[in-house]
Amino acid sequence: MVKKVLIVDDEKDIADSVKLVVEKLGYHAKTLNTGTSVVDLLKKEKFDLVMLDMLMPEMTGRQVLENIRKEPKTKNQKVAFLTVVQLGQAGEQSVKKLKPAAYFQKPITDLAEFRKQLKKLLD
Amino acid sequence: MEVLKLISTLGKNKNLVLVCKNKKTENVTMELCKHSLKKFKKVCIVTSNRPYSDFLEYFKKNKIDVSRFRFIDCISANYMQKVPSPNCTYISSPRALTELSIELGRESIDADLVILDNVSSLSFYNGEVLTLRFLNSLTMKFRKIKTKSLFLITSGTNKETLANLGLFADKILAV
Repeated sequence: MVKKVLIVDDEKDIADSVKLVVEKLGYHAKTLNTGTSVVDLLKKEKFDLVMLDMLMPEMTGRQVLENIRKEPKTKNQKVAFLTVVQLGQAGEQSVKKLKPAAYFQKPITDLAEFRKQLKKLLD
Repeated sequence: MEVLKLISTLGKNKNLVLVCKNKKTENVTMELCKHSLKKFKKVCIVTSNRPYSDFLEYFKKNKIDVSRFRFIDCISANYMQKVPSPNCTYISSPRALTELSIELGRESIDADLVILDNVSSLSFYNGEVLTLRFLNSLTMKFRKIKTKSLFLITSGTNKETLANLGLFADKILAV
């Protein structure tokens, strides 16, 4: 069965570009431009990976992941961050507690490495 | 002063977030100015919370050498009288983040420490996400040029803003 990725980014162009990369690797991808409906969607639909932007209006990626971990149905969901945020030492510690599977830095400068990491997360 | 002790032990390109109780914020900034000269050669202060003239008054009263400070005043241009000074640059508005970023790029190069007073008021004028994006880019800039930074935020600020700001921080201290 083809694996599914949910890409959450308030910047539509970025979400669409990541979707293209994911689909070229042979996976299915869906995009959302807000973090508010992520948990509800995950309760209805299964995704093998969620890629979350950090600084989104209405609900930040950190809040979304907190909510995912709080909800019994979604608490074990595999989530990766894809963000411009460069974490400080205190930031790293607080994000670690939320157990993200990976942390990708935007903009993606090494596409080959990004593809490799993505495959590693999904295969 | 505990804050300065802590920041002087941090690496050159590190960031400290200082969470102050509402009533304490004013005193904390002024105390920071007073003591920072013992630890740092040049300090750049971004003020979006009170005018440069307030600092000037305090400095005169406490005999603090103003020449070792560079101020970027974000509020006087709009709301009060500007005191002409070679030590202060006035930004047209606290919403003019691009202008502030350019000015900070100039002023932070030879500063050992940049104090941003404060995140709560910037967030009030610009909204949370825009402020966080701006602060993320600032932190990245300061890391690159190896300048320490201190972001003040009042504890009454939205808890989520505090938690999100903590993402860029190397240390968080509440006073």
